[in-house]
Amino acid sequence: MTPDTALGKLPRARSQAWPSLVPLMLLMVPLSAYSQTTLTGAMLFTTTSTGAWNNYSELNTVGGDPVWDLWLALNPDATSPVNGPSDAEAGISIPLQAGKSYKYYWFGSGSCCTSSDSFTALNLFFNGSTSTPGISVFGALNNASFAPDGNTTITLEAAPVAGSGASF
Amino acid sequence: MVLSGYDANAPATPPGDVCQPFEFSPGDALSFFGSFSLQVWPAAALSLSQASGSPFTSVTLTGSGFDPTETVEIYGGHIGVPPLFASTTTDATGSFSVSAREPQHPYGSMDVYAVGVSSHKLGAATLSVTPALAMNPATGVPGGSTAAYSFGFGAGEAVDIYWNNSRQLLGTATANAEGSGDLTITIPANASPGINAVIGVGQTTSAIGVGGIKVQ
Repeated sequence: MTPDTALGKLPRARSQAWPSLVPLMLLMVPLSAYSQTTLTGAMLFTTTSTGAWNNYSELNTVGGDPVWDLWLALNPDATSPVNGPSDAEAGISIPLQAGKSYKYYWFGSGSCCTSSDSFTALNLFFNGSTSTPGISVFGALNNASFAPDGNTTITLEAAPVAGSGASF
Repeated sequence: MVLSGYDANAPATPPGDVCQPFEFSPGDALSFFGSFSLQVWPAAALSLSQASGSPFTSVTLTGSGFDPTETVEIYGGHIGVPPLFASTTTDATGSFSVSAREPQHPYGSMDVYAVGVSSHKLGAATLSVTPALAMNPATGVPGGSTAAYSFGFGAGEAVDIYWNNSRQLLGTATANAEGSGDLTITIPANASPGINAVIGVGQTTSAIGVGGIKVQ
């Protein structure tokens, strides 16, 4: 797990003005002052067009359960895997540091989506929680736009739960 | 922490012959793939004067924990993606309070982000976007026409527009990606004088927005 980008480079509207401030920002921000968050679970599943779980296909980062595995990697060709390759190694525990950004590529198997329900959602779980998603989003397949999901989603154990309704 | 990117793709045709070491149990082979991105920001605070509202509703946004006298840009939806919800400057304590019109956005949850331009601190809150109808002109005569503007419905969804009393379908508008649409409607010949309700019903979300028109 390697942060791929300095935070100051990310906002699109301000990207031209911020990079020169990044070194100064990093010096001024006492990173140790922030409590650390750990990404400990991800559940990806198919939904309706309004983000409601449709019980069609699910993938998670849990080994030893009947749900198909969700594999994470640091690069699109999966040569730097985060979890796996065996089912027993499907779990994740990724510390996230303030001021950093992270990108993960995911891979899965299963029956994905029908022509009328070509939407997927992602629930992320933090600090060991398996029942309350910290972040819930959904979007159309083959489309980079996404929205917060406050509809019925699922826990890391694939039980129905309200989405967080936020992407933060 | 903010999820700044998410995509899912299927059928999967990822670059190269990837994922062969992975155990797709109990499935078969790779069938879909995607990515997501997370950003961890130094925290500030943001609160809103209301939990829900329709586009163009006035909302007061209050923030604290930013740097003194810095510019704070506030976005509805995604960080850095225009249009701005508001832009303001913090006071000597790093706080602000500003009122702004809610931007156009589809029905449902909208993330609201306040970004300190110099401190890179982030405050976040959610606003539930509700639908509404507005008529222009807002007055008319039986048999006349007006434009019904719909806001806060689902992205791309069909919105049936009804005259409320007596209930009759006037037509169907199609919302754009921001959940907004418009339709020219004819005021029913039997419309009663006075304020009459016009109702929009989203055919996917089932969201209901109500507007009014004065019949002369």
